[in-house]
Amino acid sequence: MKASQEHIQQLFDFKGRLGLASKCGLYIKQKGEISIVIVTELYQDNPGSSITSVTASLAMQIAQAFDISIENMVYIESSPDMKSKLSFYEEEYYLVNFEYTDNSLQNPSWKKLSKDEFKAIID
Amino acid sequence: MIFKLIYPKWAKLEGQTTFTLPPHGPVVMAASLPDYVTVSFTDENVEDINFDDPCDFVGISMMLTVQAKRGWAIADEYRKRGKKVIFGGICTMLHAEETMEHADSVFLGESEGRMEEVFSDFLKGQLKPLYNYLNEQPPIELVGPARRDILKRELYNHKGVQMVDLFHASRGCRFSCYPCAVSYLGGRCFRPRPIDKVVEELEGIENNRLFIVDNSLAQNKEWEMELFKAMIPLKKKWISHTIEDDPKVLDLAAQAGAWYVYQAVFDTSDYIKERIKRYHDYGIGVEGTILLGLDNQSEDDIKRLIDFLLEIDLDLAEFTVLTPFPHTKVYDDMIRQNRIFDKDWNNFNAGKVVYQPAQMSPERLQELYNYAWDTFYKDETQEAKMFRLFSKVVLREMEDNTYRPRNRGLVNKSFGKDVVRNMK
Repeated sequence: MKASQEHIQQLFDFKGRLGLASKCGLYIKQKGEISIVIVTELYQDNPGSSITSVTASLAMQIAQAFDISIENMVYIESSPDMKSKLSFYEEEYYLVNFEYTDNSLQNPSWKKLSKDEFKAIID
Repeated sequence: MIFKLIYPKWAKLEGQTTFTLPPHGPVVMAASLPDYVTVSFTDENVEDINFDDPCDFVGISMMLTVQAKRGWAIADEYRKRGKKVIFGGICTMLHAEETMEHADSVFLGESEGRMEEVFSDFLKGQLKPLYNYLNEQPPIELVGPARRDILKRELYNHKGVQMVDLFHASRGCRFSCYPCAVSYLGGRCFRPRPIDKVVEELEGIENNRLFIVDNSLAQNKEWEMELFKAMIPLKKKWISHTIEDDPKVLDLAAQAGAWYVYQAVFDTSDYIKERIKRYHDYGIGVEGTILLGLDNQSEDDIKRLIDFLLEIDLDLAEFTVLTPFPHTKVYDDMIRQNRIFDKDWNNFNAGKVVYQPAQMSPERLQELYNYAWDTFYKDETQEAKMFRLFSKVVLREMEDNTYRPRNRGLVNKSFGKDVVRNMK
């Protein structure tokens, strides 16, 4: 796998767009009642939809698979360091906020995290 | 049973020389149809659709995002007339959910070995809304010769000169380039076709000039060299994307008929300058493909890049603005950063700025895009540069006795339309 594995505890199989079999890296850290979920894009090692193209659905699939309370979930998308010469493949973290209505997540919005902000959340 | 297969038209970029090439997707797809199906093909870029033509089932094949809205409108018209419509092709895969709103059925993936099921379902009145084979590519050995017989060849002719035929020797891509969706569409593994199958198809193509449309031939050096060795006796002349930067490979490519290549020029490094020179050393022309508007480009970077292009003796250059097509990393990045301000798919033509660039305004990037075209072709027009490149291939064909004079019967036609000559 080419993606940096620093924040990958396991690979998670999920249903992408139109049910497409897809795969991401997953790291879950418990901080009191809060579940910090970091999903990592795998690029060449993901056969299906990107994590960003199905953010809300993927967050729900993870919450259901690991019995995580949506209200207590901090959801972070990670673009891993791909050791590429191109700056577009440097490590990046985005905190994703959702609207939670009718038992589903909707309208995701992303906030880019600096390394310090990311560290402060997970440490 | 008549299957009406349609390739929707799209608006060509303003100010550029337009040559309409025969499409590739529909002829490849047509080769996978059951024997009992008769194909009636219309490429709307060169002829009008007659919605009253008799047909049993309608297929719409879309390659580009700019074809999507027109394809949906065509489907709406046929469905109003009671016809069932199925969509396929690259653009359909990128815009599947939206396309489903205009379709009786959507096919995602590669068609080889799948069409018996689709047509059997249609005949039973049990067409499924979605056939999703995106993750299940058929064995590459199943890819047979494309059905170029469905094309009206005289419509792809400009003043007697036949346009190149499109051809593919592999599928999939092991790279995940920032603005590209090919690895999503064709799989993340490079899947070269067996050389004997490639040669069999090439031998059957009447045209002596080809465009090998593979994303990049430079993915498996051993196969690439075997391919070129096998192509030498065929004496075809061809255009392709990148070729491996290795003297042995370039030499074989030249012997196999490499006419010119599309080579991405992304910086002003000596490496790029030497890469272009190495192609030229082997007699292979280079059309630079230059992407403008990446986040790491400032206005000065773009101007420097254009100056550099004039120094390195490119044969042609094609400029595009970064376009966030769905299922690419650039799309995901732009969505996260809320930077796409224009979501009209007709504007996703790689010539219009549809997003907020990182280092300048969208208007400024649009101006620089126009400046790039104007500056590069200021001293010698695009038509003149193309003619020079064309003359080179004619000379090579004359040397190896493969030159075919232009079709005198079509000298007054351009892509099916009468040539209007301004006589003084």
